[in-house]
Order: sequence, then structure tokens, then C-alpha cells
Amino acid sequence: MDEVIKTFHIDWKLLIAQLVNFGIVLFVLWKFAIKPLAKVMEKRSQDVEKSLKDAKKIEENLAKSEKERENKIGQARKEAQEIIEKANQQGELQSKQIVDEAKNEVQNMIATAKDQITQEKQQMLKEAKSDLGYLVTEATKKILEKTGKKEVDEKIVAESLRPFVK
Amino acid sequence: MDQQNQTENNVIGGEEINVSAASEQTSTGEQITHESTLYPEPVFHFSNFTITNSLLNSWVVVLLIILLSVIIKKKIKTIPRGIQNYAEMILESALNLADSVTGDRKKTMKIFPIAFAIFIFILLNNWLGIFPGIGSIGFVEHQGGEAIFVPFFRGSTADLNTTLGLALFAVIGSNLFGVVTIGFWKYFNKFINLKAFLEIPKKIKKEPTIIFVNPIKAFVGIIEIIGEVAKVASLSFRLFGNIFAGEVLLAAMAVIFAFVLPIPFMFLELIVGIIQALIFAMLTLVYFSIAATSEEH
Repeated sequence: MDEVIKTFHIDWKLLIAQLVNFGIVLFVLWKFAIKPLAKVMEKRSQDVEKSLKDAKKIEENLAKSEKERENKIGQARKEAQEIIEKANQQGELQSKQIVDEAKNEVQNMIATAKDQITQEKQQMLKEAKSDLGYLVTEATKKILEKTGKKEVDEKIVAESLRPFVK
Repeated sequence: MDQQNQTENNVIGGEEINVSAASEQTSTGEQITHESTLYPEPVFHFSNFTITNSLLNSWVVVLLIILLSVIIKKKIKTIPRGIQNYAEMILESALNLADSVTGDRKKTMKIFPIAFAIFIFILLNNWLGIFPGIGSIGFVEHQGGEAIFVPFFRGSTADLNTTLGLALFAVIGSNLFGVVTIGFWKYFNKFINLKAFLEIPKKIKKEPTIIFVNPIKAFVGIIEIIGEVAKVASLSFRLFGNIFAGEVLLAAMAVIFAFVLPIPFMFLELIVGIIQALIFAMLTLVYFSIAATSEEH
């Protein structure tokens, strides 16, 4: 053993000095390189895993919302169609109604106008008859004043007027 | 004094590379011997503490590592850029390698910093040993009428003090780690297997062979103690031998022909440097993870 120590000049002070050197290296490497690097690497792999998961989730959500949107659009389209149909039907109905009403009114108007015309005609006839009777009476009176008796005259007049006055 | 200064300058500026027992003649006729010594040479003394050239080299490595670590720490971001990419790549592959030994990331994270620090420390020391200027810049020391060339720097792992220190740290550290993780009694029984003897009366009726088996187990435990000592020796001498041999090899090649010829051997030394660092670190990792497993064979 002594021989070895002598040959290789082993000195415990130097040995400890080298160990201290190594100790410094160990500490520095661990503190400044290995630990923070391992931490960063670990964190990064976690981050990547998480973001991959998130991306998958987002994609799923997107697909879901796309489907929903399509559904909604389809529904809206259907509803719009229904509304349009309803409106069309209503419009037809309404126009028909309006036309009908107009027709009715026209007919009513025609009827009332006819009535009025006949009434007026009758009244005119009546008036004409009474005028005519008066005229005839007056004329005959004037003639008969000059000729005969009053009662006879009246009788003749009434008889002659009978066909006209009913 | 003037003369000595001149010789110093000569050596620093010159192309001469020191090899075992190579010598040169200065203008004054003085003989300067260059030696590749098995031991680090003292450069200067600080009170009663001798500072050797390998210790200086080790300090350079420590400074380099501190600088690099601080830069990495400052640049760390969630989205990596530049140097962080390389650091992460190295760390990731090293972690995967360590996982293949321990088989569990949690366990790896406990042992890994030690093994990785050993790897980086040894690797930089090995490589710095081949760096130009290391081992070739120095001064001349007069010792008993002889002028000896002493380089300022010497690859730190070509000094048994460093490798022995690291090996002791690895082996003692692994034992402490074992005690902490599986408990003192269990760990103690790996070596001094009292449990094996205590088991005999309990199980002897069921399996009578236990009376032969368990003493053997206890003996194996005692052999493990020798194994721990052998670990220290094998770790320290393997690293020291490889790196020192590399330096001698490079010096020898440079003596044969100083240009071009040493280049392939330098590449070889680069490879040896990384392999030896890897072996030391992996063995440390294995020792630690074995110490942390409670089951014996």
C-alpha cells in the first residue's frame, strides 16, 4: 500500500481537493442544468399532451356545433316553407273572400237599384194616373158644365176611367 | 537567473514535447529532462498545501462546467432555442440510457445527477488532457543539479488522486445510497449475513438443506466486502491507466514524428476519453442501482 502511495504520489489533501472540485461540479450541474432542464422537459411534455387533448376536444366541439347549426338551418328552412305556404293559402282565401264580397255587394246594389227603379216607375204611373184623372175630370167638367147634369156627368167620367183606375 | 529565464522561454515557445526521459541541450549546455511521470508535479505551494498541475487542470474544468451550466440556466425557456436544444438532447438520451439500467424513471432521477456529473467531469478532464498546450507549456525546475521540465497543466484524470477520489466517492456513495433506500439492517445483511443464520432454526424442519445453503450465503456476503474494495481499485486504476497511457502514447508518437503522425492517435484519445468517462459513469450508475435493490441474488 505504501508502495502504491509513493509511486502515484497519493496525497489525501489533493484527493480531497479533487473531490471538492467534483462536488462543485455535481452541485452546479444539478442545480443549474439537470434540475431546471428536466423540469422544463417534463413541463413541455405535459403541455404537449394537454394541448393535444384540448385540440381533440375543440375538434369534437366544432363538429358538434356544425351539426347543430345544420340542424337549425334545416329547421328554419322548414318553418319558412310552412309560413310561406300558410301565407299563400291565406292570401288565396282572402282574395276569394274579397271577390265574393264584391260580387255580393254588386248584386245587392243591382237589386236595390232595380227596386228603386220599379218604385219610381210606379210612383210615376200613380202620379200620371192622378194627373190624368184630374185632367180628364176637369176637361169633362168643363164640357159637361155646358151640356148636362152634374150627377150624370160624374157617372160617365167614373165609368170611362174605370179601366185606368183599379 | 537570466539563463534560467531564457531556458524557460525556449521550452514554452518551442515545439519540443516531453517524453519519458527525453532531453535537450540548451545553449548554455544545461541538460533539461522531460519526463512523463506517473504522478502530478507540484507547480507551486500555498502555505502547506501543494498545488499540482493536475489540480490546476481540474479547476479549469470546474470553471468551464460552471460557465456552461450558468449559460444553460439563463437560456432555459419552455420553447427551446440554440444551446438548450443540445443540452436537452444530451440530457434526454442520457436519461434514456440510465433508464435502461435502472428500469424506472423515478429511481433514475435519484441516481442520474451523480452519474451524469461524473460523466461530464471525467469527459472534460480527459479531453482537456489532449488539448494543445496542456503538458507542453511549463517551466524548468532545478532539483539536485538536474533541470526537470514541469508542465503547468496535466490531464486531471491522469492523476491517481483524482480517479481514486472519484472511485471512493462512487463506491462509498453507492453504499450510503443503499443504506438510505433499503434500510440499514437489510443492507448490512448483504455483507454480514446474520439473517441467514437467524433463519436456520426457523426453516430447518421444512427444508433441511438450509443448514448448508445459508452459511454459503453468509460467506458470499463476506466476499462482497472484498468486491467493494475491488470496485474502488478497478474504477480508479482503469481510468488512470487509460488516460495516462494515452498521454504517453501521444508523446511517443510525437517523438517519432511530430507532424501529422500524432493526429490519428489524438482522435483515438478523444474516443478513449469519452468511452472511459461513459464506463465510469455507467458503472457508478450500476453500483448505485444494485445497492438500492433489496433482494440478494
